[in-house]
Amino acid sequence: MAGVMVVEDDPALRGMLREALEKRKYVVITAGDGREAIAKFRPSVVDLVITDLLMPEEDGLMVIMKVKEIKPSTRIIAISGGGKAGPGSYLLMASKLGADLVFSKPFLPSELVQKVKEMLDKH
Amino acid sequence: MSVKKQTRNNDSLTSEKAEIRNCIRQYGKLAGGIAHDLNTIITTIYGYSEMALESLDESSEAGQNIRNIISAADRARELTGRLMDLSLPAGNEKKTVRVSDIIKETVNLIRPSIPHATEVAENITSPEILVSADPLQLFRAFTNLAVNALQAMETTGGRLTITLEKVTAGDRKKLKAGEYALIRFADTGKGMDKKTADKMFDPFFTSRRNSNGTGLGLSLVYDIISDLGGDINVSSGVNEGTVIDILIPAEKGKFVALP
Repeated sequence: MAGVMVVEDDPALRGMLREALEKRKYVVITAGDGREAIAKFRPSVVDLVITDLLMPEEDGLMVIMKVKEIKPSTRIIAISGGGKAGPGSYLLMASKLGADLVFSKPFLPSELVQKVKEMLDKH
Repeated sequence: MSVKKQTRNNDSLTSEKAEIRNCIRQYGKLAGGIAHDLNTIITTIYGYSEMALESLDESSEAGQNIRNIISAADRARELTGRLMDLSLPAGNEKKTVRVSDIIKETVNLIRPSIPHATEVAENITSPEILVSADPLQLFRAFTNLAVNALQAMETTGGRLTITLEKVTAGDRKKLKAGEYALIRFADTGKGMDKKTADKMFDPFFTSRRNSNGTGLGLSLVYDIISDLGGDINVSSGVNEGTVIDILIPAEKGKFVALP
């Protein structure tokens, strides 16, 4: 089964996303910040990364750059609660750095999980 | 009242307004931070509610209760949107940007919400003109002005023309002599009287009493443009439309392309 890494500093949201993805039978690895994410990233296991952008200890933009460097085929979804998208916003920067999709919090997790499925089915 | 006394009163009014603006800015920062954290919490509420609904009959009492939780989360989402509107976009560094790029982004954003019988035109005579600004803040200011113009035409229809040209301004009260980007938002909407026009950039002033507006949108526009060393001029009349001129000091050098 495909592997998904969830990088999110809020433990409740991280736990909820893990549960929602495990229900769909994905192998889920979680990390609470960018540094932990890079330490736990296994190219042979992870096919898709969902990463928050504003986090202590290395932010999501760094995660996107490193992951793309280690395994360029990894699909990436960036999530952020830092406001609306617009020129210069974090979400747009994430797109520019290689995120395939961006979600602005709050979002419906069912929509995120659906996108994960679509992206991994195409993979 | 003597001229001297009136000047002193005007000065104290200006400093009071500056103090209010500063206060709002601080509260705006706080509001933005709270909204950011609340958005994370609301996403978690949505997620567990959706999972709960998957495992029970939606028409049952428990199912209905979960639906009510989701409706409450929807209302909280609306509130965080309004809190976000109180805050300036997260402080990215100022960059040298092309104003025409920001205008294009603004038009792209508002295009889906342009009402029937209303058109938006761009009149860009100096596409190359550069300014030093946070692109997100400038985009926020332009979007705010464009949406306001569309709202002024929502019952009658009309035309919003966004003009960009390079102008030279001499020394005056708020501006240093030099080259400026002039961005003009001219609409053919319902316009406003002088009293309203004089107050439109004041914090908490709104002419739409029944809307959900905070009366802070245009005040933030004023702050964003002032921070850039620029100025805003308004000319309007009832049923004569509104023209808002923004002047921002022009920059030279290499610009940063927008994503």
